[in-house]
Amino acid sequence: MNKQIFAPLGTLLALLLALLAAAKPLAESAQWPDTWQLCLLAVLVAGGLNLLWRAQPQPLWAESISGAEESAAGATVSAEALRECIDALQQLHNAAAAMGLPAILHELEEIHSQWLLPLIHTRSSLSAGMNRLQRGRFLAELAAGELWLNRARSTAGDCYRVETQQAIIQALAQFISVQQLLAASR
Amino acid sequence: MHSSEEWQQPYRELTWQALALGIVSGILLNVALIYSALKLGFAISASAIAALIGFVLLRGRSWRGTVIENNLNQTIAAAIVTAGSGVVFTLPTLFLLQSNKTIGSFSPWPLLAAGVGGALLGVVLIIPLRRKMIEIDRLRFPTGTAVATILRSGAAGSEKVTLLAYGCAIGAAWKLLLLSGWLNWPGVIENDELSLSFGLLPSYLSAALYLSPLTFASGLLAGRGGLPFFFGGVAAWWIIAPWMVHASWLNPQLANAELVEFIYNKSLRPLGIGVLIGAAIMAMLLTLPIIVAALRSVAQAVGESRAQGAKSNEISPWLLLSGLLGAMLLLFFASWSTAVDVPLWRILLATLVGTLWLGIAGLIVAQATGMTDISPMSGMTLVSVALTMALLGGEVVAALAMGIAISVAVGQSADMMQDLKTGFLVGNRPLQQQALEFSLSWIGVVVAFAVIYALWQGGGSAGGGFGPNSSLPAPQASALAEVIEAVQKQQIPLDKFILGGVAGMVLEGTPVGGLGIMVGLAMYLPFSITLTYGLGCLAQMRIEKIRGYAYAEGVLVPVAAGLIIGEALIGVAEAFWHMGGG
Repeated sequence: MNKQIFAPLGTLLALLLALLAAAKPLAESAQWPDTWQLCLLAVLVAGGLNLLWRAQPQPLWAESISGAEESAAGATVSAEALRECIDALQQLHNAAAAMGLPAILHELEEIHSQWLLPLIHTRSSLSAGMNRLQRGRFLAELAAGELWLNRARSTAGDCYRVETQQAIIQALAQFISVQQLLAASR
Repeated sequence: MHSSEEWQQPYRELTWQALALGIVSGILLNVALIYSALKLGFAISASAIAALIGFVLLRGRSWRGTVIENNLNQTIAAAIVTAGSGVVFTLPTLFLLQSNKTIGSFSPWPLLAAGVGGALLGVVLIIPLRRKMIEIDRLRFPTGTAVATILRSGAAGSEKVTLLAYGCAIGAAWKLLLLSGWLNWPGVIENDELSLSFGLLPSYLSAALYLSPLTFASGLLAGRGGLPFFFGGVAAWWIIAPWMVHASWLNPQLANAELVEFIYNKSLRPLGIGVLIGAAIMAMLLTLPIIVAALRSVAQAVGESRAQGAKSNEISPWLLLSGLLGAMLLLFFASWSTAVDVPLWRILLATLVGTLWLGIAGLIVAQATGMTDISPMSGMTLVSVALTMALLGGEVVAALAMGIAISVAVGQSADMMQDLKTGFLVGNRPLQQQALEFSLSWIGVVVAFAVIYALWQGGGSAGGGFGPNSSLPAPQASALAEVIEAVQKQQIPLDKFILGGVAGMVLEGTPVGGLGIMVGLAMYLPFSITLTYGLGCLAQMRIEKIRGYAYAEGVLVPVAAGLIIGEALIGVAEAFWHMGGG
């Protein structure tokens, strides 16, 4: 059997067996089902196999399932999306004074759908080589950038220019910080 | 729009209009939904309705309210309604137990203190997990995402508004059809479920689809992320249940609905609760380092902001700590006033264990809601009452005081996260939402107490305004009363909780994060819900594969949001209709 499949499959099958054993109804006046030893044994086996599973390199689907986001396109796409996102926001910031708010909103929506969504979608691949502390900081900074971009979209839609420009500046600063964290981790 | 139409004044966020509208609509919706919960046995989320009301009243031509202002209005209203929902599933139980002479008379004040303490605890215990759930794990929170779509619909362009409206119309029409009973077809469509057995498959496979647009839409929003939930249900009902039957573990006289009910109530549901508890404990242990890292970055950002004279984006940790201590004092007061002849150390222990359990239960409910939009609140309340009864030597009123606190708190935790997700998607600063939930959710508890007392007294001088054989059967409270009687007879399925808990810890420890919570929830819920949700997940994956990620985000999200809102709208309309005597 393929080594990559053995540990996950074995873990899940052992856990299924454990749940099966635990599901047995109690006999009259018993406190535990007579399958409790089997249940604990299966949990122990599952625990051991799980350690093997955690030790091997994780396919991207495992993380994408838990986070509800997919990361199939790899780090290159993410890094490029981050760069493009920063460039586009910089250009928008420079030109915003001469633009109407509907045009700014249109640009923000374009940046959101063209660059930010793919960046978030594949963010796991960017943070793959980071330790837990670096990853926590990286994801928090990325989320802060997204929050400011979302705010800019809301305030532009509400026709408040000053607030929109401030939010664009904040989003830009956050994404530059993300880029710096990324550079520092490599 | 031309630049001349731009607004020059400061951006509108927390205004008195948003505050007043949030409180008033929260109270009105709370009253309607309490009545509805006593009649039908389930609560309805008020976030989407409050956002729609705000859209009409705040963003109308005269006031020109903003997206963030409406987000704050909706946050206030939802906090008030959710706190009330926690009370309505627990407080009526005391009246029912009193009327059948299981307990004597009781004072409402300690119970009210417990409810208010629970509202505070639910907020302060979940706030530190915001970064993990929303920014790091990026859980979907389907209702939160749907509400953000409503809030931004004015700015998002006409195409998305049209899709939202289509979804809403389909969801509302479908729910109306179900309510009308026109779709009922004995043996095929009953109790909002479409049977898939066609008389061929055995009943214990529970092959049925729950015909809820909201459930299907939640699956559409989750996509691949929801698959473990679906597979958990498949493992429970298509592997474990048939095995139990074929291994002759069950009484052979059980058949059809009775057999399914036995498998569900005696094995899968308690096992699911155990898996949820074990998984939540493991999730806390595993994610502690990453939460610490995120909190460090917050502390650093706060320090930098202060140095630059800027405002903080998060509520102060000192305020959280004060809230925690204040709420624990209220819980202690509630237990101390209601427990008769119980030593002080046991009351202190019950307060501490109750608070710790509340943190775990809040995490379970918030994470389950974030992944699937479905809350295992009743299961958590059941465990809370059993735990407190054990700690307080079988004191029913004291245990239910703790049950009220925990029920309110876990609901509040899930609602807080939903609203923070909405806030994130529209660019609101978390601080404002956190502060509002912290300071206003107690209103929902007070209103719920007043309404429930009034309804009970409405039954005559001896009470009896709700309960079995009345026009308000209070099904959840009746079920909890049965559980309390089972606890008194020591019939709690402790073996399933413990063995499930151990398995849940390993499940959550696998590299597929959130697996334990999802599998536990799938075992806890009826399979029809899991199947419909799974169908939504598979549909999203298929559409994304054919049309691409951008299409799935741009088209499916507003349609799914519309389906959720449509069903919720009809649910609230139904509650008001029942209040009017319908």
